Amino acid sequence: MRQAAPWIIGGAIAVAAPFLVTNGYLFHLLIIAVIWSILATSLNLVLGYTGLLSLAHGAFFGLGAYCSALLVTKAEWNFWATIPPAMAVAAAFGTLLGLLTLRLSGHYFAISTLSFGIVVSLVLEKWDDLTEGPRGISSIPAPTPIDLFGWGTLDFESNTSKYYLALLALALCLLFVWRLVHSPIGRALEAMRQNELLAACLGVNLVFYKLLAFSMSAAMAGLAGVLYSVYITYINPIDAGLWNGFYAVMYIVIGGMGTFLGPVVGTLFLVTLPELLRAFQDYRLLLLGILLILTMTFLPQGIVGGARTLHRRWTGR
Amino acid sequence: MSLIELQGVTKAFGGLRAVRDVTLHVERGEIFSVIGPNGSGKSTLFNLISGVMPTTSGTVRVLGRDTKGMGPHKVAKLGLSRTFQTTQVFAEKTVLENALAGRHLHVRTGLWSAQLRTRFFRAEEARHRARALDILDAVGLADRAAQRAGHVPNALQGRVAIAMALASEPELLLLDEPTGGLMEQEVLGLMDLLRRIRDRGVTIMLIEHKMRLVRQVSDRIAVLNNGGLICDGIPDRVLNDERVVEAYLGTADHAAA
Repeated sequence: MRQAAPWIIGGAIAVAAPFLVTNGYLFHLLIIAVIWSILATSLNLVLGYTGLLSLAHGAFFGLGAYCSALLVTKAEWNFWATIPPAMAVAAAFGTLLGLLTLRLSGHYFAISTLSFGIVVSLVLEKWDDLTEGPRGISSIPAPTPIDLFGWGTLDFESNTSKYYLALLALALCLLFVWRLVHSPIGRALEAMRQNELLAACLGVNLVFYKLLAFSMSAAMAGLAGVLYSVYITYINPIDAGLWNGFYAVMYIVIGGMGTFLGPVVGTLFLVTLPELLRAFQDYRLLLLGILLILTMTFLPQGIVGGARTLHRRWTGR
Repeated sequence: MSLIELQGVTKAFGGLRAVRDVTLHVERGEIFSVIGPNGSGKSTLFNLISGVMPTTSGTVRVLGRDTKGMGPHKVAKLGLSRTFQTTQVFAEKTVLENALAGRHLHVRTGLWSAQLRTRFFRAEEARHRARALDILDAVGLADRAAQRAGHVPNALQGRVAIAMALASEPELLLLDEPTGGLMEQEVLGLMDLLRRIRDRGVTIMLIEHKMRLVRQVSDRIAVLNNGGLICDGIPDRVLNDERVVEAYLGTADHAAA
């Protein structure tokens, strides 16, 4: 019960947030942070738990966003029906990229995923007939209202409803990751991250498990893209570019690589930080840089890892 | 059927032939030791048998199967587990989690069963946990189950590695210098453990330097020198063989010179 308490309190704060945050701009940042948290959580699955530095996650994010937005705006699909294909497309590209590159190790793998990210945003930019090129896709409608069979309809026009939608998605993703990590598959992934040779000698098929983690993670990044597209209502090839992937890496490093909540904590912190630093407007990026260096030097396990160490010392365990 | 059959196995690293033309076989139920001076190719031989490295020429058969082109995970699946000369454990994980990692080959739960926490999943996890605890008990680590493997005293880390290897319930266990860093008393304990493992039906192949241990537990011994097999057979015969004494101590001529 004592272990459940922090989760219940955290969940309650997340659910009550729309009533606590009255400032419109701050609430916007909060929604964005929840969506980025999904991307960071997906990347944590490969970077934190499996030990693969992927720089292609911005591309998976963009593929999900484009797939859903195109199906809604051009094929007039019901929004909810676009989620499975959007995640499947991201997963398919993830699998394909994985098949080609997962035999590479370390930097070589990171570089190939980087190139993939560049290619995806270039194709989205040049394939004008389908993607509207650099103009992007605008006026993406809000998610299709859900008919509650006589109890009225649930619409997603307001920011509050979009917040809850994103929060639900984040909760489901976190549940997925938690159950994955605490299962034999998670044990195999962690074994690989810590010692590939030993894992292989215990019978772990390295390529298969990396591919599995990579494609699941890509699907989750695609879901984050879908939510982004309906919240912002506008996407362009830059959204599928490298920066989103780099930012996600940064959120994880600050929050705590390979920790369960690190990606969420890091994202919340870094998305709201610029607001807290308003007074130092001109020096924001400089301060952010210093913060990154300090974190990597003194808190290699990020905020969550540092807090965990403190907690252990405090309770003497 | 021999559990391991090596036929003319050679491994070359560039011009250096670390293992040359080795032919030997290991029979079910025996403790088979490989000895030889440092750099004689013992660990390389283990790497070739366990699929960690491909052979340059010759064939390796494990439990009747030619392992050509198989990676270590496939050889492991045939029923072979191994430990490493420099003890390898998952230091950040608890001893129990290490043993559980060794259960990998027996996992039948799929992704969705784990996601939905089905009854099958829960029953299987409980079974693996019980099995892992059994094995920890058998190697004398039961009271350390909750400790992190990296925090266990050095002398016991080797046992964590052995527990992990045993957790996959292999038919064949390859141990690369399990006595490394052990005190006299601990070596005796290990000797006893090896016999118990063998008595449970696991065939053991052992690389070892401590001659007293080798002499007392081995059913047969093979001696490598400069990558080549110079002698194999029962302990008394091998350890008194002229060529073996020469490999370890040098010839009388050298001694005189």
